[in-house]
Amino acid sequence: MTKAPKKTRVSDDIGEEIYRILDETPVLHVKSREVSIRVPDSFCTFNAAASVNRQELGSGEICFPLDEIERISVHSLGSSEFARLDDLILKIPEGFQLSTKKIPEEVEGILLTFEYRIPDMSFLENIVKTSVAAEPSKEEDSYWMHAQLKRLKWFEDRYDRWQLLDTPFNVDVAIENEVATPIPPYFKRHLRLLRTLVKEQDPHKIPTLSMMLASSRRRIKADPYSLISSLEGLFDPQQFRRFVEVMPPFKYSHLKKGGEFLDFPTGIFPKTMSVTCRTKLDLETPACEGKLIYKKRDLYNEISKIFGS
Amino acid sequence: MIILTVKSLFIPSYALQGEDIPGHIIWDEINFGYIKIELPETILKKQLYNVRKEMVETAGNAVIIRNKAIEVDGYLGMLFSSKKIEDLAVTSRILFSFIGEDDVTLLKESREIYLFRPNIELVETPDEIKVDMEKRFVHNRIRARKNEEGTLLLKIRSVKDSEIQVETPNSMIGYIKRLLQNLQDEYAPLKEKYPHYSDFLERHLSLIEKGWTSQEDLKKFKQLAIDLNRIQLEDEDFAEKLFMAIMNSFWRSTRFLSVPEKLLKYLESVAHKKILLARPESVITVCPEPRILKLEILPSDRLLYAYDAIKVPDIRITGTAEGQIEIVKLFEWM
Repeated sequence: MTKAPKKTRVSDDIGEEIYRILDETPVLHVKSREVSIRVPDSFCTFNAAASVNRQELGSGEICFPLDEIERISVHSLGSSEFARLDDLILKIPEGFQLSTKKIPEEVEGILLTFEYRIPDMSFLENIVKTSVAAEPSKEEDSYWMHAQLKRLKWFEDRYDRWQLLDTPFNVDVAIENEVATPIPPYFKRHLRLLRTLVKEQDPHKIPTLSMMLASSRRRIKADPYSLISSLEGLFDPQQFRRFVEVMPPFKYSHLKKGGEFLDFPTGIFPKTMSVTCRTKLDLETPACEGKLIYKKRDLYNEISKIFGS
Repeated sequence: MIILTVKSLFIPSYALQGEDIPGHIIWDEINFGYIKIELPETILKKQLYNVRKEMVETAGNAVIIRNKAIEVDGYLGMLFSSKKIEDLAVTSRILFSFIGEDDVTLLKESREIYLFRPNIELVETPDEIKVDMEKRFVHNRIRARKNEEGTLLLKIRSVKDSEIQVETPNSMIGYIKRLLQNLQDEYAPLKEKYPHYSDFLERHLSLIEKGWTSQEDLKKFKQLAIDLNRIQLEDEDFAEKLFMAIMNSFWRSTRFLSVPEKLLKYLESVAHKKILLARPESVITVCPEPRILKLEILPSDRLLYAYDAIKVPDIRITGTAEGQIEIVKLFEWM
């Protein structure tokens, strides 16, 4: 027997189940469906606007046996526009139930809003492609970012509106040159002497090394520890924020020290700052580009100011 | 006359050679026969989105997308791959044409992209190097120059039959052990809560233990980085916890080091403008008797692409006394 090809997952299972239940019920005739997925917290809002088939009202309740659903709200559509009809919804052990018998006479249609968290967002990889420049541009030290939907038809066929909000982009902004270059050679020499002195085990060499250290210390105009501490402070996300600018339609979200894969990571002085930017994709804007500008001259000047170089 | 307007056409203006190049065209809904994309030799088609793949044609360097191959009119998503080429930098042009049913060109646009890659060359390699162990000074160093834009990550290692071997200092071995233990401790609850990421965490641990010793390892690091990108998209909560676990492990593993020592290690790993050294604390043992050192440099770029190893001609090394010196001190970067 030939094995059926594995279906590429392009949607979350809960949304699919809601879609199926609404599609199959004779009581409602779904006119439009809108889905909005907020990526950072995996939160989905599924809106379905439906007309009520009064002939089928007697067929009972519509059950949504999905305990992942956090909330269902109902509003009226038609002449009594947008009145809340929360008493139509009943929480049951396995999920929610919509009591169709309670739909008021005058209500021609209803808007159902389902809110839930998507437990497995791995399908995103199949629907969106995000790309970020590995290196900055030579001219203005910017990094390009690009987002594009891999599929459109599947969503176009099923939804009147579908949007993916706050898709993340992690830009690794390389900062090592702006950190290392303004630190003057005499400061580095001082650090080396300090290390040599700490490691020295020959007591006869210690006085000479101490004198050399004292001499190198005189060239440094402030307490070396406070200078290093000021440098360290620059990598605090709130402080570093001023050295990056994110251009629309992308927006800045947050930043943190970048992880180092291949060298000795100290966890204090980063070689990259990982800046998370976000953007929105929908059926009208299936692709967009943006850029992050790294103000490297400002960082360089700031570090030069700390070290008086 | 039909006026076709392209609302948005994007191709980045620069990329590292070997980097994937994304792009898109968004146009108004106007009937056309086909879209023709003419690619330079440096760029290959990788993926097209919103098209019926079986209906996409290729003719030499051109890709033809018939109107009926577009699934939803008005949008074409693209992903190209760029080649590593002999030239360190090249400006390539991609041509986009919308052609009518009658073969009349309705619209023609092009985008240029600057493709570059960094490279390292040995400018001067001495036959003999003398190391003053008292002053920790190296006479007559190996001079190497970085060319073109982009960052180079370098790993310097000795070859098997070298009389002098590049060694990892004991302090570093101790650090790796501590880091590994701390990571294992931090990863244990993550593996329990996120069993589907266990394999990723295991692979990370294995690479931390082994380090970057060969270009094969680099490929594994690269795969790990690709997987991490995917994870950041699909589960930000896990990605955040992973980041915290790694940072905690780094911090706990290096807390015996003073902050000035950490800064010094940082500065030593930045060899020169856009040259980063992997494990800059690696050492060689020298002694007053001359011995042969056979080195090779493994270069990589920000994409963790493994370039061919550069063999350094054999060097006779003598020290004023027996002792260890950091391998990076043998180099002068330009």
